[in-house]
Amino acid sequence: MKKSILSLFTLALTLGSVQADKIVIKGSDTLGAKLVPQLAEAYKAKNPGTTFEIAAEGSTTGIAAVTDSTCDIGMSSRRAKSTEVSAAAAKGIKMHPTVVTFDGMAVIVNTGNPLKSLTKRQVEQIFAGDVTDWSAVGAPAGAISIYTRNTASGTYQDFKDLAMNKRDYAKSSQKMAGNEQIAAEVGKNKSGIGYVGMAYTKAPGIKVVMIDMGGSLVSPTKASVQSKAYPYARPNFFYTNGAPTGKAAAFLDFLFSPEGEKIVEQVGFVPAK
Amino acid sequence: MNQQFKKWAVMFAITTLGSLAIQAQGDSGPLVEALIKKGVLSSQEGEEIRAGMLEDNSSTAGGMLSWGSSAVKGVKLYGDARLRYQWENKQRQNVSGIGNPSRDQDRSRYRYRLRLGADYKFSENWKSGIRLETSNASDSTNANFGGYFDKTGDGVNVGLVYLEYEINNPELFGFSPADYFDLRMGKHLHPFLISNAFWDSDINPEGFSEQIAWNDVGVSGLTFTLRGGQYVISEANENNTLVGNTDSALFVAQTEVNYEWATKTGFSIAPMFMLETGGKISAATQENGGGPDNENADPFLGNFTVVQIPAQVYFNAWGLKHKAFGTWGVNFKGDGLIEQPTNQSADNIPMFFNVGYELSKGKGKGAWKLSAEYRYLQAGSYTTNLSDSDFAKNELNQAGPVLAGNYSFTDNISGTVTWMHSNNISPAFNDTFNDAGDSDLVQVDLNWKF
Repeated sequence: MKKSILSLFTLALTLGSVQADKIVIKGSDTLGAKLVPQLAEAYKAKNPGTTFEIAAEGSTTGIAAVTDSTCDIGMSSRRAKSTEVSAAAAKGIKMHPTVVTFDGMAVIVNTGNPLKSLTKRQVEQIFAGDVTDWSAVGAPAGAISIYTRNTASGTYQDFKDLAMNKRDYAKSSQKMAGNEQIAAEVGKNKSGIGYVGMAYTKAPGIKVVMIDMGGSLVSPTKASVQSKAYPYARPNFFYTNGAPTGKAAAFLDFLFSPEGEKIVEQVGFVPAK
Repeated sequence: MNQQFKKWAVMFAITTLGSLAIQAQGDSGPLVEALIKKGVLSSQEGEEIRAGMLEDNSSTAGGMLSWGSSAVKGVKLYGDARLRYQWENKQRQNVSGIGNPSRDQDRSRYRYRLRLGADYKFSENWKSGIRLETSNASDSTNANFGGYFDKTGDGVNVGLVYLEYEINNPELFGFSPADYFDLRMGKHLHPFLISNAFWDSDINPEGFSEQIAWNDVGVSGLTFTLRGGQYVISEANENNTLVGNTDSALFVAQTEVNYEWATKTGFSIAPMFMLETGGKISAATQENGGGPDNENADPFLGNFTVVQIPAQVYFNAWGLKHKAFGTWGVNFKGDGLIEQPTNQSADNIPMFFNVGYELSKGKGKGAWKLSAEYRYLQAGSYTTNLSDSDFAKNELNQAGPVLAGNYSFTDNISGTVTWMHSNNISPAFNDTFNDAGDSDLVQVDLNWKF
């Protein structure tokens, strides 16, 4: 009897310690599709026994998960809205942002499209539906097919704020679940245009359109994002309940370490530090 | 500098210097962004400050506001109130015939008004507005003090309820036919360039209004605008057994040419056509059970086919804003309007006009405005259902000056003094509603906005 109780007690402790080393991260597809899984693998290699649960279904889901206390870290490629902060505060949650990387939202077209650059106004007009044919922007005639993220995406909101003067997307735009899906669709469609994070610009069949700033053509690079010369640059966040502590703080420390920053750059983001 | 102290100092500065709009939104983005660019703050410090301010805002009444519909993208709440002292004196013409012997009037009263409104912004260029106003008259928002502090007559009613579609550079089948289009539906503010003398500032039409405009037509600064209005004046109950019950409508069309050759310097001329459809409505067949509930106006609107041409010139000189304005108009059915009630014949087409000048300076505290105007409305020339209900106690066949002065004591509190005087134009025309001799009106107002 005593041995059984002791065994059960030991098992409970073991299980408990396994649970304590599980880091739940939910939210942004921009961060969660590539970067965070690679960081997690590297972290696990240094911290055996740590497991990760990563769900990348959009920044809005990450912020909601922090509010509902169903994750340790909420990934977001946009800032939390005032309504979200209010909702969290009502539940006693203090939404704390940590800038983990910088990113430039690249406007992409099919490699078969000869277009090299667009002005900011043209970008707005295309994605808002004012301009519907490629001939209006100097490319061969054809109806423009617009690919955007869905409404749970932080990139969807950031692009609307930075590139579209907060205007609504064209009704004809097709909503995609993630960066990789947008890249795949534009890569297959010569009339396609979309936007992806810098880390997703190497997908086959797509190329990045430079932004004509009225005197210079700017692409999303580490230099142009850090200097904010690129107009569609934005920070990416890890949100936690209050300042990060425990396992969340440990994972963030790893992210900001030289090894972590190297992974950030390799994936295609700009380090925050 | 200690990092925590630096963050708190920046938050204090933003809170102190930031606008109410920024605080209401809980977003101090542009200022924080500038500090990051200048190297005063790191990106992380900037984000923590933004998050801190959002959190502070969420604990305020403004931050806790939410809207019933997620379609609402923006809301503006507004209101204004006014206290008024009014003295009015109207002498009845000393002629025999129809008319109430006791219509000589000399009266002073204290009045107030309250207007509460909200403008909603939806997506895709749609907007909506509502406003509650004191008084149930179409041409007044005033309620009287008195009644032993009761609330009789002090109720608010719906003054505005409308849906609006407004768009710059509208697109139709792939091309842009104009530079601006606006459609208003419901009970709304009218869009016309028309003097308050000929459209009382409290009257909000019910129906549809449209505007379409073209900018820089051939010449930079030249704007061409078309406006239309289709309004329901009177709703007849078609099931009423009285013969010939049909609704009555007012149609309005205007063309405005505006040319500005310098900032806030230019002129406008805006010919306007107004037609009442002459539905066979009498007071007894009104859906509401009686005539129109206007404070001073006639219980019908008929024989109204009017062309009027408002015009104005405006410019800045000697540090002041100047505006010269005027209108000239005729009612092509004015003879019927005179003959019908009075059984008198009209020898000429009744006309009306006004001419005036306005000087003003500044905006906000210390701003002031002076205006002087002369008005002339022949009998049968117009309808008292639209004209300024204060001038000549809302009668026709009257002419005289209007002087007004306004001064802003603070950014939202101002005072206005108005004097109107009118004389009878032609004693030959008189009826129950046009039998005034001389009239005088003085109004002293204290106004505030919020």
